[in-house]
Amino acid sequence: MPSDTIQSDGPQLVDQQRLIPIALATLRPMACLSFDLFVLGESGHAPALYRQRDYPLLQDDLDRLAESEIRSLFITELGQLRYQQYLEEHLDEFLADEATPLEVRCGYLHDAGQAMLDSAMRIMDVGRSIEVAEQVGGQVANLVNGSGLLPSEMFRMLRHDYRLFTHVINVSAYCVLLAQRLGVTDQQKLKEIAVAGLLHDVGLRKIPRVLVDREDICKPEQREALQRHPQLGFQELRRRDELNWDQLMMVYQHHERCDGTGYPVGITDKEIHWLARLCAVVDTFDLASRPRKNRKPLHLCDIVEILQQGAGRQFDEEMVRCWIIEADRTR
Amino acid sequence: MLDHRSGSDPVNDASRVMLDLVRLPDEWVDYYVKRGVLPGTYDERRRFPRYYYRGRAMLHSGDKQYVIYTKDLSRCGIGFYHYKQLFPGDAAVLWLPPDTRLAVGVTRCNRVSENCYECGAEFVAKADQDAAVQHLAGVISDDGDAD
Repeated sequence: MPSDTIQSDGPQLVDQQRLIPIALATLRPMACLSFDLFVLGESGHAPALYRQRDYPLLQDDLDRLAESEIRSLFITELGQLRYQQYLEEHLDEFLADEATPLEVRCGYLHDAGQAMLDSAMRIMDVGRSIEVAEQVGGQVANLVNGSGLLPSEMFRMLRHDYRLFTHVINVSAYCVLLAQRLGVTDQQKLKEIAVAGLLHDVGLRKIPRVLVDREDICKPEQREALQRHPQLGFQELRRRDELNWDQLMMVYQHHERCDGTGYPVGITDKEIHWLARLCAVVDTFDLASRPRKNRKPLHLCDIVEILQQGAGRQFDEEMVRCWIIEADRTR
Repeated sequence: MLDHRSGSDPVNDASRVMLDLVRLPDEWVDYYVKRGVLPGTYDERRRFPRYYYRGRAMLHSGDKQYVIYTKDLSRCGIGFYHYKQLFPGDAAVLWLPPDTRLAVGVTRCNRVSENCYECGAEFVAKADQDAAVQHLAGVISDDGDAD
């Protein structure tokens, strides 16, 4: 399976924690890809190089992977930028092709979203993650399939920033999980929460990507530009009929803090809509679990500590407590 | 500057009988004193200069009326303080003393303190812009007379 030894992004066997999942559904057979592809080994084995960059990826390869029920491959941090470029160069036409039935394009997006959720849930226990992925991921992914609003928004997000796409899928699923933990059982309400989660960062599409990508925003005007995204998203979505006020509040207020130091308004805990308080917890959870340039991905216990330190100040205390219980019981 | 808190005009007369829920911070002792052009900032979204414009006015939103405190005024928008949060896109009508009526759309809102939110709004139609320009000319003229 591995190709001959030629120059690649890095060592053939890499630390799993430094790999980034990508959906198999986003790959098309082609003469060469500009990034290495890795596949997870059996439990306890390190990931292995599946296909080196500049080595052909054939339809037979994709078929065999699908038959093996492999829905995700992995790329290195170095390959991430090239993967994003690949998406922009080759998939933009496919997703934007009006001649391709929306159902087909949604199906494509369904597969991509489902696979990404699977990978996100790996932070929890494997057995539980499968259960979660099937329940919640299917719900989120089916939602993407069934709505006239979301596919267009998701297409634009996928083209804008691949990482934004995975982030909103994760947050959407986590929002549903936490809402269930808080006692929400109404399926329509849970669906609304999932939709809002998918759209909570839609305003980031209007922010220059160079700012969104940066991890060290220093200048006040850059920070202010980035902090406009909740309002931009709210204003854009408010003009449409598909979202209710509760959902809009998740988009608008998810960066507000209980102690009044958040944005865009600076309201305090009682004034923050409960859906926004819910989203704030899981939004931070997902962002903290991602690999960064100069930092390994945090362990679950470290992420839990971040949330606990912010409980009462940044986050709703009860929601943090519920989320930690949810995350903890899957270990 | 003509202090448009006092005087006999419909807006001020009406606002005096309405419940005033705005709580300007106690430390703003110079709220009514400020006059002239606001200092410029790096924000390139501002197309025209803003002038200090301090006093009470009325806000109509839906079927409710509120007392607000104005902050600044320009050719394209107005800043004011309201006792509760407004949301971008909210439509309202402002009545400025003595009798200027302006239709506005809220563009931003920031919490200053409990019962005090700083709001920005833009005029929605050319007629409102023209009315604002005329009103502003009066304010500037009054400021000049007061100097």
